[in-house]
Amino acid sequence: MPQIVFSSRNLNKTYRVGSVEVAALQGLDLDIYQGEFIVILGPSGSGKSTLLNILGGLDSATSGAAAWRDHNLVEASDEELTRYRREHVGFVFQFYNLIPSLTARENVELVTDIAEQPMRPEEALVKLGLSERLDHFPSQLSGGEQQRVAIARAIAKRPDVLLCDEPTGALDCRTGVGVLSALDEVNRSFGTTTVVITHNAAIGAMADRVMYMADGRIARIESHSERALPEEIRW
Amino acid sequence: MKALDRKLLRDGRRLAGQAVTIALVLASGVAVFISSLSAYRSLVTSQQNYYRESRFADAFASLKRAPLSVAARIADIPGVTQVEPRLVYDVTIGVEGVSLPVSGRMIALAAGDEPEIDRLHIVSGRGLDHANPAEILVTQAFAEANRLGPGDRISALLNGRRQSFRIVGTVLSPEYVFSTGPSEPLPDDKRFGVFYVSREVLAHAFAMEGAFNDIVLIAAPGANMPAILSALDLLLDRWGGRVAHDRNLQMSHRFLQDELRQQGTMAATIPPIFLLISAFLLHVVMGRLVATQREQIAALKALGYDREITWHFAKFAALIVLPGVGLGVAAGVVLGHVMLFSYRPFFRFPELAYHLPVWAPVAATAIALFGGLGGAIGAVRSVARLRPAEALKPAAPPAYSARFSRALAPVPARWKIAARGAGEHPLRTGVTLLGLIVAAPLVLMGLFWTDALDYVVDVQFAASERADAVVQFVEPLPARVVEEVRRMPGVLLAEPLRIAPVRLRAGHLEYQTSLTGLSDRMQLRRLLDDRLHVVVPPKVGLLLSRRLAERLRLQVGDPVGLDFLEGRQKRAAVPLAGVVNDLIGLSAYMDRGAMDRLLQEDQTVSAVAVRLDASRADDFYAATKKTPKISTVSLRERSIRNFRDSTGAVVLLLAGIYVAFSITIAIGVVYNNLRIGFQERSLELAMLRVLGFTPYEAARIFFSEILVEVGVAIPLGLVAGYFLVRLLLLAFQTEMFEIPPAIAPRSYFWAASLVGGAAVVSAILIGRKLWRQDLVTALKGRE
Repeated sequence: MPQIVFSSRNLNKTYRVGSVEVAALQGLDLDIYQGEFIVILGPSGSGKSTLLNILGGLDSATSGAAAWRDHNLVEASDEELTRYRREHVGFVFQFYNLIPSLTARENVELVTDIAEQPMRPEEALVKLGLSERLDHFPSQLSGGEQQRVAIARAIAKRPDVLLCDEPTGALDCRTGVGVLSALDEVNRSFGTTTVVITHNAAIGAMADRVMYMADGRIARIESHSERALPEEIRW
Repeated sequence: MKALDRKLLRDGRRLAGQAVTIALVLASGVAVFISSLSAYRSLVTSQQNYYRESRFADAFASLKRAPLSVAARIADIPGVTQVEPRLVYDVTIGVEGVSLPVSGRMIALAAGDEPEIDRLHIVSGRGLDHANPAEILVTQAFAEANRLGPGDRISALLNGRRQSFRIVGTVLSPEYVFSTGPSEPLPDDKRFGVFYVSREVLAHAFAMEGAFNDIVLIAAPGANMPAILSALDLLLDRWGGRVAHDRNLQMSHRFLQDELRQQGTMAATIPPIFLLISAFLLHVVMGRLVATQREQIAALKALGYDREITWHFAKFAALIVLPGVGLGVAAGVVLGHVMLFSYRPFFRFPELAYHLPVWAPVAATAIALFGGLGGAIGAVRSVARLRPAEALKPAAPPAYSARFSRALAPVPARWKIAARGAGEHPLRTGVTLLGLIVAAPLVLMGLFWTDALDYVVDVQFAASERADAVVQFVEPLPARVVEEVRRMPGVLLAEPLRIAPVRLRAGHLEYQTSLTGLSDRMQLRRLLDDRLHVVVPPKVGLLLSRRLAERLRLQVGDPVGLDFLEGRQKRAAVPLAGVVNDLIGLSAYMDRGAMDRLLQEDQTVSAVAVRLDASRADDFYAATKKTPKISTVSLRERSIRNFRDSTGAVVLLLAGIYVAFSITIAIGVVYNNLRIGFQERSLELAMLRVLGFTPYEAARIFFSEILVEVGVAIPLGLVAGYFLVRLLLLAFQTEMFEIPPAIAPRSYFWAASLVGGAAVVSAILIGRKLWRQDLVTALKGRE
């Protein structure tokens, strides 16, 4: 049985919007195992993004327990969260969030410069099929290519966990599949625990487990003994 | 209320900090504009009113002695509507407890009692009882400087006989708004006053019954003044008449015009620059502020809004601009009153009434609205041009080229963000730089006046006019008088000067001034060239103040016509041998021997420059008072103080106001530029934080860019400031004195520190935002 790397118990997150309190997470319990590929599905407002933000140390919970291995994510200070992100987490966002003034190689360098045992930026980019695009600026790349640069940037520091927020949300199906293949390849070859949140139910097929979220809780979990290949996915 | 208007109010509240600083910058620009302009217009209006109400004379002439019947013939000159013959004498005055030599001008009407021309305004006490010859009126400036008032006594040496008077009133005269003693370039109210006595007093003391030695007249509007003046010269010639002149050569008027011109130039140059710069900043800031609302504009467009969007942002701009302008106008009016009140000791008009020309606030509002609305609407347009679907998406990454890639190759990626950001956004960088660059010249423009005045004092009084005192004689005397002065108590060194009033002619141009004869080894009076090297008057030819040579359009070597206006009124033509760098006054100089030859005199002396033993100065003053042939004694220390108190004080008053506002503007500019820079980069900064950069590392990247910008902008700003000051001074040349573009290192230092300091304070404020930046929100693109 693989090791549990992330666990939460009775996790709550409440936002104040004006005078209204919105409960984004309500007593969420969750375990994630080393090397798992997890897809979290759910409608808007179900708490997917909030969960991802807490997992990634971008936000902190209101109450309950959440830990990445021995890192307590609920009581961590800003400095500890920054160190956690820097050492363990890679992010991929829907809109890539590359630095427009840096080339593909330099966007990756940005991370390898501060990481402890990073890959060479070129190695990460070649792995994502971007060997011809090393010195291109984001404005010179297609959406799919930009997202692959973002993934290269995320994996270059050899993170323990890769967190992806709607990674294919801005892409057409064919380009999206390319990005998913990249994520799958990273997960398989490096054993990086990968969490993808999406609206797109079709993506669930490639996951070890699919978690369905509703009203700030995990409503149901679906386990796959066999993961579909990204190329088999259509939407 | 419509939803869009509610958004307006909430946006206003959300951006309150920025809105307030922008409004303050604008208010500062408007306040300087309104206050300078209104204070200047008030002065001019007050002067005009005073001249009209007091019936200030149009022409002036003095002579030796003429019977009153001549005055009637002067009244018959075509164009002359009224004449007033008078008795005017420069005398030595005794004020109890004052050891400094004091001189005064005594004036009485030669016929009649109350002047109809140059009417007096009684400030305190009452007018003269003409039956009582012991009564005297003194000018208010002299009374205040010597703490005198009605009831106090003074004495005067009238034709060798000391006579005592009781002050019954203090007065103002349009002829002596500034009272300048004979052969003094600047007014000294402590040492020179104007006095009015009954006709009997002067007529009796100087045996002038039935005669006059001075005349003022009023001409009909549109009268031919040159014709009147030549008719006057012709008539008075046989009565020992000195050249008649109009207001342009009247000392007080000339000085007043110069001061007003200076005020006018200051009001017409610096405040509009302030206003335009603040309008420009408004333009830029509004544009960038609107650009940050790109998604909202797109969303409104998608909802079917169109013109309403432009209108909405126009209202948003107006919400910032109008309170700013309102505040600026209000502050400007208050400040204008304060300025006018501070002018009181300098501009002695009976009434300084505040006058705000209507067009000034209208123009200020128009310029401000133009700047603000222009910036906002321009930005709205550029977003509104996009199709809503396109604009709703986050902006496509801006294009970068590989231009700098090779040069930047060894630089860590995080530093490339700043380098490329600057290189590839020339407009954004340019605008930020420009904003930062204009701050320094604003501060310099205010600060440099003090340096300029110090420089004038250094050059004029430390390097050039080095005598502690200059004694001037009633009439030119033989050279042995120098030895007499040398033997006076406290005198360490005495050197002769020959000073004579002259008219210089060059073609159709002429100028009346004094010609000073200097001996070649003089220590106490030196002439300097532009590089401050000593110039010795050559044996042949004339030296002129550079501005005088320019005024007469003379080149070195050109012949100059020289008419002496005293004694036998000799005429001669001499070549212009060179120009000298006089900062105060326009004068002519010659070798004393050469001047002797032209005047066919033998070593005549009209003044002696002396160096004094400071501890015995009072003995020296007392001795000069007992020497009847000495008419005036001018003291260097007093001259410096007078210079600082008159022109200096007025200029510094304005300069102080400019400094205060330039600091406000500089801080507003720097803060807003950096604040918007932060807003524009907030997504990048959040991204760095997400990637694991600490707030400190992210701040270092952001602030290093600012550091580079500020580091580039400050030196450029100082250079721009230097040229701006030079440009300004072109407009500031007056006849009486020249302001050199001498900016002291300390002013550069202060200007740089101020801009740097504003950047540091802004950086701290923004740094706090950076530390508290909410990553989740920032990544969603909302600020």
